[in-house]
Amino acid sequence: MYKYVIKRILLLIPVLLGVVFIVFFIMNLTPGDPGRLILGESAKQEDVDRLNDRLGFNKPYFVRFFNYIKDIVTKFDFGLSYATQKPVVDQILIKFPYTLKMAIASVFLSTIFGVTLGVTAAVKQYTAIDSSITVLAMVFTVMPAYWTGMLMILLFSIKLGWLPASGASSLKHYILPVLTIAITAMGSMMRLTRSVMLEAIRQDYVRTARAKGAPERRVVYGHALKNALLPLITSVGSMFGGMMGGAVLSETVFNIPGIGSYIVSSIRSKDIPAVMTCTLFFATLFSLIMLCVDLLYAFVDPRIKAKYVNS
Amino acid sequence: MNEKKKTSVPAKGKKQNKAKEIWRRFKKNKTAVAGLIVVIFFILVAVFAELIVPYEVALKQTKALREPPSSAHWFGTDRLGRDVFARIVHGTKVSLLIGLIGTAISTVIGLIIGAISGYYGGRLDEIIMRLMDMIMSIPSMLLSLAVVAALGANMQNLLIALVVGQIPHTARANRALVMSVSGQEFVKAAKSYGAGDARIIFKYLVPNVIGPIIVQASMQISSTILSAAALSFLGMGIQPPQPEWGYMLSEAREFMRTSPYLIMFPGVTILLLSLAFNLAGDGLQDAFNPQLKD
Repeated sequence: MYKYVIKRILLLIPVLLGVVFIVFFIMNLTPGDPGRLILGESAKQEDVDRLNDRLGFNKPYFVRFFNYIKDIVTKFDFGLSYATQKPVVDQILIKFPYTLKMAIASVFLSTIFGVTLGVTAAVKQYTAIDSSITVLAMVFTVMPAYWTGMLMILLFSIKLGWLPASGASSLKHYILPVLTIAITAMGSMMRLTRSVMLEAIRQDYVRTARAKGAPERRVVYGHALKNALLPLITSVGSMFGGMMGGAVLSETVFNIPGIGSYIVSSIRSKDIPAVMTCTLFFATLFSLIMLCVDLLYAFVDPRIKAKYVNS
Repeated sequence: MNEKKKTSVPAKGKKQNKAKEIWRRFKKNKTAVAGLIVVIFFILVAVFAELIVPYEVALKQTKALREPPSSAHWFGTDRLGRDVFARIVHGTKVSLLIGLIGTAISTVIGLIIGAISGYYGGRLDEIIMRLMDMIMSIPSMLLSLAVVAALGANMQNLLIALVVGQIPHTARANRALVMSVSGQEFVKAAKSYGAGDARIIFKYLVPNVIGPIIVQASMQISSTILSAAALSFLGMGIQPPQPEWGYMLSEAREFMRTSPYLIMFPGVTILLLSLAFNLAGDGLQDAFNPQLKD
């Protein structure tokens, strides 16, 4: 098992190198040069040239790519932000807690409500409850997150005055943004839970559990849901990825100083090191989460564990 | 009609029957039909946009700033005094075009990559799939943002950004589909009489998986529309003054307190269109695979 975990972690390295290469390639398409972007329009051309030279911008593409990787690996140096001339990593460490708190809270919320509603719909298939949950799930999936956020501000901040509409200075400030992300993620969770549960409740072991007189709650949650968990775990994992995208929108709507709004402002000001590092950061995080999901399988499903141990 | 049927080649007749069968099953699904009707309605709005309300009205700035809905301006006016109804009507064209073209391009490219990967297998498959894994580990919203940031914000680059974000997903799904049929007898038969690889892929494999691919594509349209609107909302998509729903919402943000209707109309329109595409796509999927339907 440990061998497998180590192997998987080592396999992450080429994937992340590939991600760096892709992002580096895309960012390289940006017109303009760092010297001009840092010093501004009014700077003298010779100053710009000198700065470009110092930053190694005039070297060939692969040399720059290699140096970029070298700085990351040897010095954990992801470059200086064009805008602030401070290390980008420091900025990310300041901003990440906001995004992380929101992501965890909304994954938690959307999983609990998504699974419960999905299970209810499956158990009550073909009833009015089932169809209303299905329609609700569909609406949640297609509601644009930023619009949901604005509607909530309209209702809870402007009309009712219960909750603040922007900022992140207290716990209260997080309620609306977290709800916004959770609602967007909940729809697909509801639909997936419903479809896997529909299959699970028709299995023989569920009939057996009913036959031996187990209470309905236990049959549904203990026997059926437990066996339908595997696809749900994957979906929670990939939900994190979607949430990073959702964070960009939600943080913009609610003016939360997290990584999402940092990316948007960096893109606007063409702060390339910041955009690159944030993207890499999210990609690494997402890969690690998906790795955890794979490993979690082993704990949920003994058959998969047996496969890992043998390989 | 009957005569035509008789004269057509047997294989073609079979296909027509299958299409009829699918349509028959689709028709029974009321929500799916409702979705399709709404989609057709939006397509008609896009096609006849100029007749409904001229494009100039959508751009014309008047002195009537942020006026609530009235008989003169059905959906009110925005911060520059432009008619919101006209902007929504002309925004339909943009959203539909991006949704349909973006999905079509990513489906075709994804199909080619997936088919090559699934058919050849082995090392090539391994390399292509690892590359797709790399792209997929960047959240697609961020990838699209990065592409637009690098290339600049306009409609063409927005399409490129959306397609780049979607290709890994379509390639992966199509590879699985191609693999599921590539071991079958008719492929072996084609190989045995010496058909070339390209011929096998495009003549035998692709036509046999085209059904599920269309279903997938129909489900993808709404997410393409939503992503495009989201990027425009962030100012990374369609650029003003061209009317676009997502951007209209971002303009309306400042005036939520005084003019809430400004966020209602574009929002409801995005919701309706993507919901309709989703319902129709779901119905199509059920009609294609009746056995999957619970």
